[in-house]
Order: sequence, then structure tokens, then C-alpha cells
Amino acid sequence: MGSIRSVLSNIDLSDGLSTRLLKVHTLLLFTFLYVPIGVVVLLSFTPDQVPTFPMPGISLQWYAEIFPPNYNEELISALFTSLKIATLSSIGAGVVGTLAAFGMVRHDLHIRWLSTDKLNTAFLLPLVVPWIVTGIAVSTLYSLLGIYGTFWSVVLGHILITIPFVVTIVSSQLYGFDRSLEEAAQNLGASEVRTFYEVTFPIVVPGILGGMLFAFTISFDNFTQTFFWTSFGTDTLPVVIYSMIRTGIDPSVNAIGTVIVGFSLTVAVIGEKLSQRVLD
Amino acid sequence: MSIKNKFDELNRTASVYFKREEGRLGLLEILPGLTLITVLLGGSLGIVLLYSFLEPAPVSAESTLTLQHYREFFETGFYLSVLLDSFVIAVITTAAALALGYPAAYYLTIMDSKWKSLYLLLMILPFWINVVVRTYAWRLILGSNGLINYFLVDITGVINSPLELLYSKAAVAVGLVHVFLPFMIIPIYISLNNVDRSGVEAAKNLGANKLVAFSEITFPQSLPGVAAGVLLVFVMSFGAFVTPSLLGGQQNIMIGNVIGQMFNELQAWGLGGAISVIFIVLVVAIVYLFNRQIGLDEIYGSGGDA
Repeated sequence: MGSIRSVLSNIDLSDGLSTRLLKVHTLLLFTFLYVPIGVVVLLSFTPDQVPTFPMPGISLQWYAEIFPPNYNEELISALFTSLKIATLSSIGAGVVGTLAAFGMVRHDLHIRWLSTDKLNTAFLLPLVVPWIVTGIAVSTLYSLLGIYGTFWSVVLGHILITIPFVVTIVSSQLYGFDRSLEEAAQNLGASEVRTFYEVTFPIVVPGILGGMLFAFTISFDNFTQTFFWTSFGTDTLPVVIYSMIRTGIDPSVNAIGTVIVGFSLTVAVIGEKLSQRVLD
Repeated sequence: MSIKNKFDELNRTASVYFKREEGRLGLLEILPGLTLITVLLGGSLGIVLLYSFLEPAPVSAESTLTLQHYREFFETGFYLSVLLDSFVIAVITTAAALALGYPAAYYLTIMDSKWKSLYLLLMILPFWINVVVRTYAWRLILGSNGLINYFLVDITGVINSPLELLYSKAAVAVGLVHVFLPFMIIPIYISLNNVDRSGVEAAKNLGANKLVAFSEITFPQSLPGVAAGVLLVFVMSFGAFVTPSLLGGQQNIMIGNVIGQMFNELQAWGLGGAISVIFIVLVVAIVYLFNRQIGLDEIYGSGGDA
């Protein structure tokens, strides 16, 4: 350490120079992050059968393939499957995860074999077990039970993988909760139920909604597990896109990719604005 | 795991401040989630463990207990070499993500606050874009008709024939860094943001220059975030599936692709089960050793508010 220190103390880095270096690095990082996304968007307007440079012109024909009246039915039905699964599983994870967060933060269970530490680990497991293993393991259970590939089995699987997000977000909201507000309500004569609806619930709601929004996005985007859970008729959008590009490239994937980019960015920006309002 | 540690710590603090209610209600609230995780995740992992010792798997009348799947894994050599390759790719990905992510996360904490939230948003945004689409994008860049070859061959004419960039280990690593970078940047940014600035100022007042102040004050305090980011990116890229499948081709598959093939295409559930069990044991061992070596608990414990 001593030698490192003496080397470092001999380097005279002016404030301006080091900040400028860091800024250049950050801007290069943005280039790395956004050039690929920009290329997807740009090539979605190619008139060619293959999305490559140079582009001989500009065309909207690939958008015509994904929008009515001449849309690609497989893509659109996969989009609706994804939206349905994401909606149902975010509601399911919202309910189950919120209950679990309340149980863990607010109660001492006094069960020797079930400490709070163990519970925390259990509720994080779906996140830390390698995704590919969760995918194939749950699919073997589903085929043993004879429910492999069914709509509700995919929803159940998505509830499993999104629970950690809801539990983490809702419990951090509960830790920041000022419980004297509840005591005040009860001292003023409110019943326990009324206290919950008028005091507790409104304060925790932003956390629950945030957790559910997160769960929705995770479910809508999930590929690795879902790939092993769906079959014909329950394929989600990422699974269908994957099967389209497995062996090559396809300009209609650029078009649907551009729509996904636009949609994701809108949701993320709205989420950011909402969370800022909650923080303010 | 570090998320868990943070979680535990929060919980311990909370139990001091809050009087917790006792009784059965808490158990009732936890039960649906706990049942789902125990039955669906625990049960399925149990089935995979069982299948790894069965031949033929899945269960049938003539199934017998055997160690042959484990023997096949270690004797074939192919699986071990894929496992080693995957480990190397995961280490390279993690190192590259750290080298790219740390300076950017640091710049976020010192930059002009007017642009800060925009920069932060720009760094996290790609996380929200589907991983299949983001990986596909790299095919349009690295392919033989991709952006890089277009630039080298058609525009500048530096070379005559396109380079083979796609379907290589390097392509897989580049794709993985792109996909998992936000998981490195966010925890590092959070712990850098919590560094007490007055310590840095004090060091400078005592004559330390910028670099010494950084390496002795700021950097040690950012280690919990570094550890969390490294662990997340390593575990995720070690078990990657979609990126090696789309950017690596048949020659550069990773262990996740082998497991997927065993279950989906080859119907070799016994061998697939054995590979999954070995992979999970390896990941748990690495995470455990990492935790002990780096002393994550200690960092979190002494770091206090870090």
C-alpha cells in the first residue's frame, strides 16, 4: 500500500482534467449502451428484406407487418398473451408479496425453525437461483403434474419469479413507516380495521404499486424461464421474437423491437417521474 | 447475497424500533408466499435432484438409482470444458462491467446536479428494454453485414473482406456486458452516493491529493456496492442462456445452453439434472467463498450506513 500511495501522491491531477476524463468515459459508455438500440430503430425503416447497411431508402413496410390490417397474427397474439400474463402475475405477486412483507416486518413469529433471517432468504431465493435452473426445474414439475404449457401455470411461475421484487420494495416502505401515526388514530378511537384502511394502507400504497409495476415489467420481459414454460398457444412476445431470430435476422423484428423500445422507455420515464413525486 | 445482508440488517434495526405484534396472523400472511416458494421452487429443485440419480428419467417402472449421469459428466470432458469456458466468460464479463461501470457511477456522484437525474435515467433505461431485443441488436452490429463491417469494408475500405466478429466468445462477452451493466452500476452508485464527503475534504486538507483521497477514503467505502455488483453480474452471466445462444453459435455455448438442450431437445433429463445440480453447487460454493473472502458481512456491519 505504501508504494501505491507514494506513486499516487506524485500524480498531479487537476480537478478539471480528471472530471473531463470521467465525463468522456461516461459519454463513451452511453455510446456503447445506445448505439445498438439506435441501430435496431434505424434498420426498422429499411426497404430491404435483410436489415443491413447501407439502407437503400426508407420504408414503413415492416411496421405494416406488425400493425393492422395486415399484421403478423403470431406476434400480436403473443403480445396479448404477454400482457395478460404480466397483468395477472403482477396482481398475484402484489397480493402475495404485500401480505408476506407485512407478516415479516410486523410480526414476531416465535417459531424456532423459522427465523426472520431464514424467511428473508426464502423470499429472495427465486431471484438468486440461476434463472436457467429455475426454468428447467419448474418445467419438470409442471410436466409431472400434467399442467406444462398451460396459461395458468405460466402465470403461477411468473408470480414466483416476481415475488422477491414486491417483498423487497413493500418491506422497505414498511420499515420507513412511522407507526406513531397508527397509534394516534387508535387513540382517537379508530378501530384496527379503520386504522388500516385510513392510515396504513394509503401510506404503503405507493410501495405496493411500485412493486407491482416492477413485477409487471419483469414478467413482460422475462425470457429465460418463460422459454421453458410455454408451449404453442401460450408463447409470450420475447419467446416468439427469439424463435424468429434464432437463425438469422428479420426486419419485422426491428419494427417490433422499436415499438418495444418506445414502450419501455415511456414506462421507465413515467415510473421515474412517479417515484420522484412520491419522494418529494 | 449482499441484498440479503442489507435486508437482514434493516430487519434487525427495525425490530429494535418497532414493537412487533405476536400471534398467528403473521404466519397466515406469510403462508401463501412461503408455500408457493417451497412447493414450486423447492419441489421442482427436488425433482431435478431426484432425476439426476435416476435412469431412465423421468420416473418410470424400470427406473433405478444410479450415479451414471454424474460419471458421464466428469468422464466426457465436453461438459467440464463448457463449464470452464462459461466461468472464464463470466469472469471477463464481470471485470469489464466493473471497469466500465465504476468510473461512470463515480462520475454520477460528483457531477453537476442539474444533469444528474437525466444521466442516472440514461444509465438505467436499457435495463427496461427486453433482453432478446438488446441481444439481437448486437447481431446487427457484429454480423458479417453488420455496422462494424460496413464501416471497415464499405466506408473506409480498411479491409477487403468482412471480419468474423459474431459467433465468438468475445461477442458473447460484449453482449453480456451490455445486458448486465445496469446491475453493476446501480449498487456501486448507491454506495458511492452514501460516502461521507467530509472525510474526503479532511484528507485533502491534510495534504492528500485527489487520487490518494479517493483510494484511501472513497474507494473503501464503495466496496459493498462493488461486491454486490460483482456478485450479481457474475452469477447472472455464469448462468446466461439467451445471449450465448444468439451471439455465440454452436461453438461457443455456455453451461446454461447445455442444460437447456438436455431438457428441451435431447430429453436427457437425468444428465441434464446432474449438470444442473453440479452447476448450482458450484455457484453456491463460489458465492459462499466470495462472501467469506471479501467479508461482505463485515463490510456491511462496520460500514453502518453504507
